Order: sequence, then structure tokens, then C-alpha cells
Amino acid sequence: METKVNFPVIIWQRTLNLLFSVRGLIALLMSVYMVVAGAYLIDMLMESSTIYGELINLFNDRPDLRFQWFFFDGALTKLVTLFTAPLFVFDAVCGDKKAERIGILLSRPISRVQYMFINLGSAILAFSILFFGALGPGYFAIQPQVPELTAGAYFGTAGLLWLLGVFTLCVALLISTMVKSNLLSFIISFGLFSFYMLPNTMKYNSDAMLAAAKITPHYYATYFTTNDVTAGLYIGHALVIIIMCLPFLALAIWKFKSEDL
Amino acid sequence: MGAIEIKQLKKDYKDVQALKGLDLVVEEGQVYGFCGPNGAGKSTTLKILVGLVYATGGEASIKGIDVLNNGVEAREHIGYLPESYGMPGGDTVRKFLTYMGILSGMSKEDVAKAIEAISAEINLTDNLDRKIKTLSKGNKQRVGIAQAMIHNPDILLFDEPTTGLDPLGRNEVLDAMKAFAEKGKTVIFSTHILSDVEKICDTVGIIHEGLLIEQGSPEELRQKHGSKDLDEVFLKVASHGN
Repeated sequence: METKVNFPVIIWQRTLNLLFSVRGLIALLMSVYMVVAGAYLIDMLMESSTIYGELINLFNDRPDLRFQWFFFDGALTKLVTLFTAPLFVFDAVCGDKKAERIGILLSRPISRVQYMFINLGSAILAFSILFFGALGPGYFAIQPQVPELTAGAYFGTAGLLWLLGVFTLCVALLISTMVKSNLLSFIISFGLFSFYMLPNTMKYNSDAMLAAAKITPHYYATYFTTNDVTAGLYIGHALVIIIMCLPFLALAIWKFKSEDL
Repeated sequence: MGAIEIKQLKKDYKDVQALKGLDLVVEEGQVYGFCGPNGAGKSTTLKILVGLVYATGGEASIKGIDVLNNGVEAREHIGYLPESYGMPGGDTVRKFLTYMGILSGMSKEDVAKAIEAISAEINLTDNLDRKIKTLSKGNKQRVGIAQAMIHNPDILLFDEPTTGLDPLGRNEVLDAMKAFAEKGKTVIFSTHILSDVEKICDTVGIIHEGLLIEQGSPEELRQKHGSKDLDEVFLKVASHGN
């Protein structure tokens, strides 16, 4: 009789292990600390500017929208949450190898591809719980202050940022299949994320930076876009990010499938 | 049909030929001692059967299922204990075994029942709710055995299961394997402790430099080589192999 492994239960179990662990606590504290500290900092900046609440609009290239500090705080929340994403997967494969767990895990009736999807799936779920846990209620706090903000625009943007998080997880998963050390995987994963981010933060400084930013998924997940935000644009950007995820995921699976353990 | 059938199995690492065309058959219900010096190819053979290492050539099957091409299905029938392995130290024994059971395709209810049964069998009951990192080496080995047996496999593959254990711990592991075999299951374990083999094995295979160079019951091998114990047989056969 064929054994049916209950993958949703496995993924959920692993997700709980990730969330209720030191790394889960670090991810949560990082988010809370950065949001609180960021909000305090922004609030001070606002107060020190000539017109309260207007400083942020100096950087706003959407003249049809007026941002307030809480809105910016929401953006910061997303950013910090994204930074926490690699925490859930940087040691997925190299950690199991190093701790010599991989032998007993893969002696079960699961394939290596399924093992990879268990790791990726649980990391995505853990990340999503933190991400949408912060962003979902955030809409109701932000919207009264920014009446122009629609649920579609807010959650469309959140969706793109979530996909950026998934991209980060795919890259970190690949790194974890390629290196032996957890620490090295951690450094490379966060380093790559920051490296990708760099041209995106400076994209309006020069045409070269803008061109460089356009080959990163971060560009397609940015909120402060110069283009009109439409449903079609969200879908198009989402597709671009998904396509960018695929080579990293495929390479991670190929690398892991082809090696002796 | 043998529980495990291996034909002309080869494995090349970069500069080393670990298996040079291994032929091996383990019948159902046997306790098979897989002996050989370090680097002979014992662990590589077991890892190929589990799917952790890819063979360079040859065939291997478990209960007639081609391991090399249909590993997932073949692994439904095996429980595996690697030579060295890690377990999540912060988890309780029960939590870890539950996870391994679910990963083997069992329902939570079935895993719970299996944990009670196996832990009673291998004296683990009192430790089920303790964290793994707080257990002694012998008790950790019991957990390792329990995870291999949790889904009631037909075949157990143990890689050096008694290495590093004190005599008491060794005897307990051997008793567990014997009890498993008495239920009609098949056990294949690698070791270089030949007194362990003499205690519980029906058949002994001696592997040397990637080839099976001798096989038979402990008694047959002793008689064939005119030796008083398997250590002597092993030394004669291995030196002849060289």
C-alpha cells in the first residue's frame, strides 16, 4: 500500500518550530524594535521639520498621494519584515547536514524535491504569518490617516512585497544548499539581499542606478513607484518577481538533488 | 525474492572506488551482519539503499523495488539508523518521534500508539517527555532506534549501531535488533565488532575494498576457515583479500 505523507501537517509542524524558536523570537523582536524605534525617529524628524508631517513628502514622487509618518512606518514595517525572511531558511539544508539530521530525515518516503519544498513551504508560511500579521491590521491604522489609500493598493503592494520576501527565501535556500557553514550562509543571504537593495535605494540618483535597479526584484516590489499603480501593473510586477524566483529555486533543487549526502 | 538484492553495485568517488561491483542478497527475516574494516564500503552500501548516495553502476532493490529509480517507494519499507546522526536536542523524545512518524506517512493517532509500543519495547517510556539533549548516549541511541522503527518497517538498516556504547548499551541495542527479527522482519547492520555479529546474526557478509569476499553463517565461516571465532576468520579473509 502506498504511503501518503501528509505534507500540510509536516509543513505546519515545521512552521511552528520555526516561529517558536530563537530565530522566531529574533524575527519578531527585530520587527517590533525597528518599527518602534523607526516610528520614534520619524516622529522626531517630523517635529523638527518646518511643517509637521511634510518631511516625508519631500521624497514622495506620487504627488497625488500625501504620506504621513504612520504610513512611512508601515513601509518600514514591511522592510524590516523582509529582512527577517532569510532567518527562516538560511540554515535549512546546510544546518541539517551540519547537525547530521539529513540522513534520518531523507530515509523517510519523501523525495529530495519534497524535502526542499517542506523547507521552503514552512519558511514561507512562517514569514507570511509575521508579515501579514503586521501588515493586515496596519491597513486599518493607516487608512484613516490616508483617505486616498485603497485596500486594493495597500494589499496589492503588500502582495508584491510578500513576493519579494519569497524571492529572498528562494535565494537563501539556494545559498544553504551551496555552503557548508550556517554562518556563511547567513552572511551571504543577508549580504545578497542588501546588495540587491542598493541600486533600488539609489535608483533616482542616476540612470545607471535605475537600469541596475530594474534587474532586481526589489524594483518591482517598490511602493514609491513613478508609474500609476493599477491592478494590471501589480499583476505584471508579480509575474516578473515570480519569474525571477524560479532560476534560484530550480538551481537549489538541482544542486541538492544531484549531490551525495 | 530477497528482502535486499544488490548486483554489481559500483560507487566511484573522485579518486576512490568505494564499491567495485558488490553482489549481495539478504533473505527476508534474516539478521545480516555486514562486516569489514573502515573504508571497506559498508556505509556507502547502506547509504545507496537509503538513497543518500547515488550509485555509479549496478542494481539494488528492496523487496523487489528498484532503489536507484524508485527510492521513495522503497523507503516505505525501511528504517535507517546512520552511523552518526543528530536529533533536535531541544525537542522532547515524543515530539521528535511524532514528527518522524508523520514524515513516514503515519497519522498522529497511529504515531502516538506506535510511540507507546516501541518505547515499552526498548525501555524508553520514562524518557518520552524529556528533552533529547538531556539524555545519556545510550538513551539517545534508543531514540535513534525508535525513530527507525516508528513506522513499523519490514527492514532495518543500522550503520554501526553499537559503536561507542558501553557493554550494557550494546547488549540492549542487540536485543532490540533480535526482537525485531523475531517478528519476522529483516535486519542488516554494519559493524566491525565481530562479537556482536556472533551473538545475533544468521548470516555474515565480509566486505573488503568494495567487494563481498565472504558470506555465510558464523558457524559455516568458522568451520570453513578452521577458526575459533569470527575475528580470526576476518583477519584471514581480509589478509587474503589484500
